Amino acid sequence: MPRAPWLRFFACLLLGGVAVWVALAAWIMLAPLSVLGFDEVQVLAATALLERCDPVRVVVFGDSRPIFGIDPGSLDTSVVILAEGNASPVVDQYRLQQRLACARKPDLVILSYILPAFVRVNANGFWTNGAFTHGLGLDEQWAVMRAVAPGLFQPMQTDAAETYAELPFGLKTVLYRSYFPVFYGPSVLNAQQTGLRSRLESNERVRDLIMAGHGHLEGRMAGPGRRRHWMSGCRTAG
Amino acid sequence: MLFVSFVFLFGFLPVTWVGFQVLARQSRRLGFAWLVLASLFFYGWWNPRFVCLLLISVTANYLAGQAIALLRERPYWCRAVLTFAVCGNLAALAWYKYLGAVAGFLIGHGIAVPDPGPIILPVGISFFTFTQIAYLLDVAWGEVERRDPLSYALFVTFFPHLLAGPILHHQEMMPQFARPGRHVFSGRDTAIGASLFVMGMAKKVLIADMVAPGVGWGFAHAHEVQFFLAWKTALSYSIQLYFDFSGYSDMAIGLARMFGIRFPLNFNSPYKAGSVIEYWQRWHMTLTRYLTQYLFNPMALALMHRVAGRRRLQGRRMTRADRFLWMVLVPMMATMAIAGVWHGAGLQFVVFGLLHGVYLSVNHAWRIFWPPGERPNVAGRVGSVLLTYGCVLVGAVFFRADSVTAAVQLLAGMGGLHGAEGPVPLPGAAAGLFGPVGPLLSRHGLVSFGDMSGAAGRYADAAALALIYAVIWGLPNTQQIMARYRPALGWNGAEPRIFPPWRISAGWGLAIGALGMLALTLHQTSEFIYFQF
Repeated sequence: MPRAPWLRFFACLLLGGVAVWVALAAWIMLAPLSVLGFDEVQVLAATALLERCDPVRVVVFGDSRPIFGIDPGSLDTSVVILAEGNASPVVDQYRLQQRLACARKPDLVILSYILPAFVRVNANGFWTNGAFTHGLGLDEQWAVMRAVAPGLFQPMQTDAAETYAELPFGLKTVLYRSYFPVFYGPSVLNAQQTGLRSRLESNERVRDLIMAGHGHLEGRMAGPGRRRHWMSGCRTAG
Repeated sequence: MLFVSFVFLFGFLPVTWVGFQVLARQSRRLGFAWLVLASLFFYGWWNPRFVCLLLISVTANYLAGQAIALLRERPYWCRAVLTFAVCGNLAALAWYKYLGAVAGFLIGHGIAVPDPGPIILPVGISFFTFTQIAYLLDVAWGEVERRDPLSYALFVTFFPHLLAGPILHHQEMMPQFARPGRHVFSGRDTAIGASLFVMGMAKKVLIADMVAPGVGWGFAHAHEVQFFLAWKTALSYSIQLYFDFSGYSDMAIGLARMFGIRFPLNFNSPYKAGSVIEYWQRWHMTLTRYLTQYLFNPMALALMHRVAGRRRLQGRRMTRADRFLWMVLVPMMATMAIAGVWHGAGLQFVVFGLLHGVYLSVNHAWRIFWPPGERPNVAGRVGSVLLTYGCVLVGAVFFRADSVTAAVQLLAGMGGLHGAEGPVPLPGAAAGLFGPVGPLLSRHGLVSFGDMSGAAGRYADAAALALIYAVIWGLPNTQQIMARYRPALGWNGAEPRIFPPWRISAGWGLAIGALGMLALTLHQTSEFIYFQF
C-alpha cells in the first residue's frame, strides 16, 4: 500500500468502487429478473427464443410493433417473433446470422422497422431520399438502405461476428450483461423503488408470457407498467 | 452541465482539475484564469447564448464597482452610479425571471398587455445577480479592499457555486484568490473535497431522486389526493427538498475544496432546528446571511430612525411594541416576501415568503415578550423540533405547488377534507391498546382491527419514511463527520460522539468509493431543485 495517507485513501476509494461494481454486476448476472426493466426482459426472452432454435417456418425481426401486432397463435403456421423494442438493423443483422445458423432454417424472415430509422433527415427536419422498405427481401432492404444512406448502415464485419460467435454462451452472457452495469442503473433504482420481489414476479410473468406466445405479447397485459409506485401510488414507467 | 451527469464527472471535472493543477504550479493566477475559462465553458454547456449575458453582467458590474470606488468622495455621483447599477441588475432579473409570469398573469385576468412570448430563464441568474449587487453595495460602503478583474471574475463565475449557490461574499473569497505564489497540490484537500462531493451525490441520487416520482404525482393530483397520500406527498417533498439541497451544497463545497478553495457553510441539518429562527440559521445559510445583511438590517434601521425621529418630535417615547413593529415585524414581512419572490414568479412563492415572515415574527415576539427561562428538557426539545418541522412543512407545500390553489388543495387533503383511503389496518390484538377509544375509531372507519388487507403497502411506505427521518434526526451531518478538517468556512462544530468521524484512512476510502459507485450506478440524471431559482 502507498505510504502517503491520501494516496492510500484514493487507492482504497478505487477498490471500494470496483467492489460495488462487481457486486452489482454479479447481482445482475445471477438474478437478472429481480432487477431488469420491462424492455430488458423482452430482450432476454427474445434471446432465449433465439437460442432455443425452434424449427419454425416464419421468423420475425424488427421493433416493438410485431411484438404486439403479430400473434403466432392466430396464424396457421409456426412463427416465432424475435423482435425487440427500438431494434437496430445492425444488431438484427447479427441476430439473423445466429438464427440462420440453426439446423432448420426458416422459410421466411420478416424485418419490420420504423421508417425514419432508415432515412436521413435534412436541416429542415424533412426526410430526404425516403423509401419504403417494408415487404422487401433482406438483400433488397440492404440495397435500399445503401441507396438512401450510403455508408450509414453496414453489416457486421464477418470476422468480428465469427469471433463473437465462437465465445461460449456463458461468457457472452457475462460480457453482455456486465460490461457496464451503469446501463442498468435506472433499472436497479426502479427495482428498489417498486420492490425486488414484485419486480421479480412481474418480470417472470412477462418472460413466461413472451416465451409461451413465441415472442408475442398482449398489449393489454398487466406488465410492470401497471404496478403502483411505492410513494405515490401512481403507475410506474416499468 | 449537472454535477451528477457523466459528462461532468468523467469529462469536465477531470480535465478542469488536471489543467488547474498543471497551470497553477506555474502561477496561481494562471490557474485561476484557467478556472474562469472552464467555468464559462461549464455555463455555456447548457446554452452558449447566455455566456454573453454572464460576461456582460460580470464586466458591467466590475466596471460599475470601479466607478463607485473612484467616486466615493463625491456622494451624489457615487449614489447615482450605485442606483443605476443595482437597477440594471434588477432589471435583467425582472426581464428574465418575472416578465413572462407577470404578463401571463395579467393576460389571464383579461388585462391587455403585450405578450413578451416565451422567455428562457438563464440558469443561476438569481445567484450571480445577488452576489454582484452585494459586491456593489460593499464597494459603496468602503468594505472592498481588493478589486482585481481576474479575482472578481472568478469570484462570480467559479463553477461550483455559479448555478445554485452558496451565495458567496467577496470578503471570504477575494483573500483566498489573492494569495501570491504558486499553487501546491494538496492530496488532503483533494481527499476532503472528493469525499464531500461523493456524500453529496449519494444524498441526491440515493434519497432525493428516489422519492421524487411520488412527489410529482401527488402534487399533480393535489385536488384529489386523500388523507394518507396527501401526507405522504408533503412529507416526501420535504425529504426530497432537504436531501436535494443538502446534497448540492455538499457537492459545491467539495468541488471548491478540490481546487483548494473553501466555501461558506450553506446547510446545517435545518430539520433539527427547535424554532423557525434557528431553521433559517441552518437552511440556505448564505441566503439568510445575505437577506439579513443587505435587506433586513438596512430596512429595520431606516424604519427605526424615521419612526424614532417622528416620536421625538411628538414628544413620545418608543414602546417595546413600537420597537417590535418597526424593527421586526414590518422589515421581516418585507424581507421574507422578497425572499419568496426571489425563489420564483408566482403567488405561491409570495405566500411561502409571507408565511415564513409570520413564523419568524411570532418566534421573535415570543422571545421578546415571553423570554424562555431555563433550557428545555428532552421532551420540550422534541416538541419544539416537531412544531418547527410542521410549520416548515406547510411552507414547503406552497414552495412546491404550481399555484396557491394546488397548495391549498393538498393541505385540504392532509386535513382529511378529501376523505381517507380507508381505515388504518391494525392487528386484532392492538384493539386492547386503544381501550374505549378503539371501538369509537373503528365505528367512524378510521381504523380496522383484524382486517390486514392492504396493510403491507402502507406499512412499507411508513417504514421507508421512518428510516429516512431516522437518518435526518438521528445521524450527524457531513460537516460534523468531517469536523476535524473544517471543510467549510464558518463551521466550528465538534465531531460526533457515536458516529465514526471521517479520516484520510483506508476504511473511509473504501466506504467513499463504494458509496460513489453505488450513486453512479443508480443515478438518473436529474436537475437540482435550486437550479430553477
